[in-house]
This record gives sequence, structure tokens and C-alpha cells, in this order.
Amino acid sequence: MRNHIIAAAALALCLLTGCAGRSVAQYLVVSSMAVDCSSAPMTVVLEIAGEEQNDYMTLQGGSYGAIFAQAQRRSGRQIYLGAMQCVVFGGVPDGKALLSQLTALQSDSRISPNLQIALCENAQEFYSDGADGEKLAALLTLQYTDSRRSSLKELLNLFGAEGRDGLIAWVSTGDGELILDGVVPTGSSDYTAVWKPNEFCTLLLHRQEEMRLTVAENGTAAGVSVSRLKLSRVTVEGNRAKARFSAVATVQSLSGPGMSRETLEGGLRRELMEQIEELDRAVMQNGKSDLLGIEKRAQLMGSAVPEQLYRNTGYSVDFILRDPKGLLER
Amino acid sequence: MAKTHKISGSGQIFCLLALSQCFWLLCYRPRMTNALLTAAAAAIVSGAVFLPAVFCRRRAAKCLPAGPVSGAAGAILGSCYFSVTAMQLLAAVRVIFEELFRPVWLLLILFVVVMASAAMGQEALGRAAFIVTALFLAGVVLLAAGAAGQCSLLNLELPERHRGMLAGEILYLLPMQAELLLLMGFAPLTDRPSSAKLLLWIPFGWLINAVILLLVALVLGPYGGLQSYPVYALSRAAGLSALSGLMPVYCFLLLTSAFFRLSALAVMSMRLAQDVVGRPQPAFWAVAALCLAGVFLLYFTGWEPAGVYSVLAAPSLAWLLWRILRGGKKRA
Repeated sequence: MRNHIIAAAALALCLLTGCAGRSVAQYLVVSSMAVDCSSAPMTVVLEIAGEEQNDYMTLQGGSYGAIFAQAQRRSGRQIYLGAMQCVVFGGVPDGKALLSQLTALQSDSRISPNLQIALCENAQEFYSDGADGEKLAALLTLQYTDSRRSSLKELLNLFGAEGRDGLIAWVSTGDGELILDGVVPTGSSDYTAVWKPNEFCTLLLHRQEEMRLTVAENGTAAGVSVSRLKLSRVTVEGNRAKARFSAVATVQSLSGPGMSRETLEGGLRRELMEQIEELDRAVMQNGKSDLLGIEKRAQLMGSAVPEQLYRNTGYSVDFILRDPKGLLER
Repeated sequence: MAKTHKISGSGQIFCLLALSQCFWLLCYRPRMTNALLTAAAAAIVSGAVFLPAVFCRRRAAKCLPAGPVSGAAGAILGSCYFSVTAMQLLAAVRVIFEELFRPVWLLLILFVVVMASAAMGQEALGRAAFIVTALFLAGVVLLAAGAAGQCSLLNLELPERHRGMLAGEILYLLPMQAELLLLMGFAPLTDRPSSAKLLLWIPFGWLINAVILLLVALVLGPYGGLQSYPVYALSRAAGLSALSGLMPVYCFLLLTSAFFRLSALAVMSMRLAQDVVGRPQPAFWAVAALCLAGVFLLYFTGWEPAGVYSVLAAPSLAWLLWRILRGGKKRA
């Protein structure tokens, strides 16, 4: 018993080496950062966490290391980057420029892999109209555990992997509020062309929990909630891909004389296919981006992947229709 | 029944060796190009270690103590592995815990507690390992649960693409397997030296490492290939907080694994030194001095741990073969 107590105390003693730390006030805690990449050297605005309100520090430098060192010299405190939640970039022309910025950030081991990334028009003016890191992080993450969608890690994976793209949020400020104007596909050749994805796209990419649709047939309108949408299967036949989606649809309301299950299923399938084709026309067919990861999925299955396979994709959708309130005709 | 502090259960040695085997992954230093490739290399290395482990177990059950030359060589080898493990840990702590721990202080305190634990003997260490293994597994499960939400098959890079690196990965991992030395040292003083548990630590340790490597592949994907210390990056990516993720869990796993590996190497070296000098106290101080000298040597020369492991591989293999083929006195 004595030996066990000694052994446990010995192990616990190792942890005491972390106790002689410095208080938070002695650190320069960076909450978020806005980076203007439009000209060299880049201009960075650091948002410093303060007790009552945050401070801002504008710096210029050729690299993040030089900028952080400058911040330390100016403030006389050691910089702490572990609490930095988001970075917003302005003046990024294309994916290659953004990738070089993200790689530079990643090489600093103090920065979290879950750092949120966004784009904006003017980074130097970003904090001037009431925007701050907390609001930006809240806007970019659907829920706290979904921080991976716009994170440094996820974007580097998207840039580094073949045949898979994602979306980067474009934000602006107005009337003291932070607004999500749209998104930029990571594979896009023009990072100033902001696109507003339709609800199908935002649901598919887990940027919202569910989608509400109204299906009208023969004077009856059914309110349907669609959730758990996912790309369930991708097959490659020759130089054409076939993608199948699956979802769960729940009848929420019905107004009018009545509707049968078959009629509603047909109408819902038409609505969903319209949204799929709109997404396809806006992004995939234009060759802007492989948002669905068609090429990556085909590679993982071991199929031979022709170039830009995602531009020639056929779609289908399967769903389970639930009617918990018994509104549909039998 | 007379109580003894020298004989430990085979299950306790199983836990000790499994914990020691997890150290290399928690401290993995080069950038991990492909986690699945590393898992495959680890499987091959485990297979390569298994066969000598069978012979080590058989011979260790029949012969102790070691002769003076064999004992001295084994004690020196154990001290060398101790030093290089300590330096590996220091290098990791400097990078990973820069803002949390004072690295050199941690190493010095760890040295003191490891030596104190080693002085208590094999049985106490084995019993502590047996108890802590459950906590260790709980830590791995917590890490997996925290990271699971971020797993995506689309992050997978198939290992076929990096097939050419497999041989290099095997040669990197193989010299780090100091557990054969530990098995040769501990097996004679277990209640059942022929127990299968003295071999099962190999697949068990590999399984724990494979689970973590699979998580790295699914969660970090190509990003993991940009990182040194990928398990550290995994722990930061996992969890709900953007600030630290599950870094305290990683800290616990790393320090626990390091503590038991270092303590086991110290105990083994002390036992072999005692076979040479005949008395426990001088053996203890001799091994402590050797280990400390080794740590200082590596600290000031700056030799990379991977290089030192490669240099130690050949004499370790020679020593094991000598013990297996030559043996020693039979147990009374």
C-alpha cells in the first residue's frame, strides 16, 4: 500500500512542473486576426483579448513569424496564439495565394488546427464596424462541434487532396453586424466571385440541420422537412459519374383537399432534383468545383477517374418519407 | 505464505510492456506522410519482434542471473535506451508543451521519480502499470470519442500511393523496440514465465497504436502529413474547445507511457548491474549515474534520437542473441 502511494505521488509530481506558470495578464492573447494580402508586405490587424474590451494592433511584415515577434516587442509581453479562433483574409486573388497563407499559418505549431478561416473585401477595415472574433467564430460554426468545416485543417486537406473541394465563407460588416454574404468554392479560379449556395447545398454540406420545402399538387400544399441529406453512392460508368443522394423527409403540415403518399413523393423528388440541377449548373458543370467529392470518392473505390469527371454527373435521389401526424391519404 | 517484492504477475508485465510500446507513436517525430502506411509498417515490425520474443521468453524462464560481461553490457544498453528515450521526450515536450511546462524541469523531476520508482522494484512497477493501463485505455477511448465526429473517409489517402516509403518507415520503427530487452529482464521474475501474456503485449500494443493511427488518417488526412507529432495535432483537433482540444488527455498518455518505459529500463538495468556488482545500492547509483551521463551527453551533442536508436540496434540484437544462445546459470 505504501509503495502504491509513493508510486502514485511520484507520477503526480511530474505534473507540478506546469504549476509555475505566468498569469494571463503577462501574455498577449490573440483572439482573432485580419490579414490584408493585397500587397507586400502584408498588413495584419491582431485582436488582443482584454479584460473589459479588446484591443487592436496593426502590424506589417513579410511573414507571420516577423509579425508576431513585432507584436511581442511592441507590447513587451509574450504572445499566446493558442486562443486564436479565426482569421479573415482580404485581397486573396485565388486558391494558390490562400494556400500559401494557410501553409504559413500551419507551420507555426502554436496555432490550432481548428482555426476558422473566412474571406472578406477589406481586411484592414474588418474590425471597424463592430465585428470581432467571437461573432465571426459563432457565424462560421453551425454548432460548436462543427468547427471543422471552415477550419485550417479542413481547408489544407481540401487544397492538398485531389478531386475534392469545399466552401470558404465570405463575410462583411454592416450596421454593427457581421453578415455572411456567400461562399467561395476552394477550387474556384476567382476568389472575388461570391456565390450564394441554395438550401440543398447548405444542407448537404452540413451547414444547416434541415431544409423546409412546400410541395404543391392539385390544390394541396404539403410542408415537408428534409434532413440527413447525404451523398450515399457514387458509381463511375465510362466517363460519366452517377451520384445518388439519400435523405429523410417528414410531413409537417398539409393544407387543401388531401394528398396521397405517391403524389407527395413524386412532387418532392421533382423539387429536390430541381435543386440538385441548380447546384450542378452553378458549380460543377461550370468546372468551378467538385463540391461533392465525386472524383475523390471514385478514387477511393478504385475506379479509373477521367479528368473533371464531376462535370458529367447524373443524379438521383432516394428518401424515406415519414408521416408521423397521419396527414397523407391512405 | 512469505511475501516477496520481487515476483510480479505475467499480466502486470504484459501491461508494462504494452504501455512502453505505445511511446514511439505518442512521440512520433518526423512528418507522418501516411498514417495507414505507418500502421502497416508497425504491423510488420510487430511481426518481426514476435519471433525473437518467443525465444527471449523461453530462455529468460530458464536462466538467471546473467554473467558479469553479459550483465554489464545489458546494464549499459538499458541505460543508453533510457537516455535516448528521455531525450525523445524532452524534444517532444519542448515543442508541444512550450507554453505549459518547463521542459528541462519536467525532465529532471521525471528522472528523480523514475529512479525512485525503479528502486521499488519490478513488482511495484508492474502493479502500478496494471492499474494505470485501465486509465490509459480510457484516455485512448476519450481521444477517439472526441475525434470521431471529425472523421471523414474523404480524408483517407490510400497507402499504395506511398509504397516506396514503407521500407524506410520499418527501419525507423524497428530500432525503437526496446521491449525485447525488457522482456528478457523481467520474464525470469514473473509467476509464470511461460505465460502467453508475455507475448500478447505485442499485438495488444499494436492494436492501440493502430486505433490512434486510423484516427489520424481519418481526422487529419493530408494535414497530418504536414505535422510533426501527429498525435498531438490529433488531440488539438479533437474535442469541443478550439483552445486546447483534448491536449490534457494527450499529455497524460505521453507522460504515462514515458514514465513506465523509463522506469522499466531503469529496473532492468539495475537488476543486470546487481548481477555484476553483487549489491543493490551500488548497482542503483551506477545505473543512475550512467543514465544521467547519457542524458547530458545527448543534450550537449544534440544527436538525433532516431540516429542513436539505429546505433543501439546492432549491439542490442547481439546481446539478445548472446543471451538466447548462450544463456546462463539455471534457476535454483
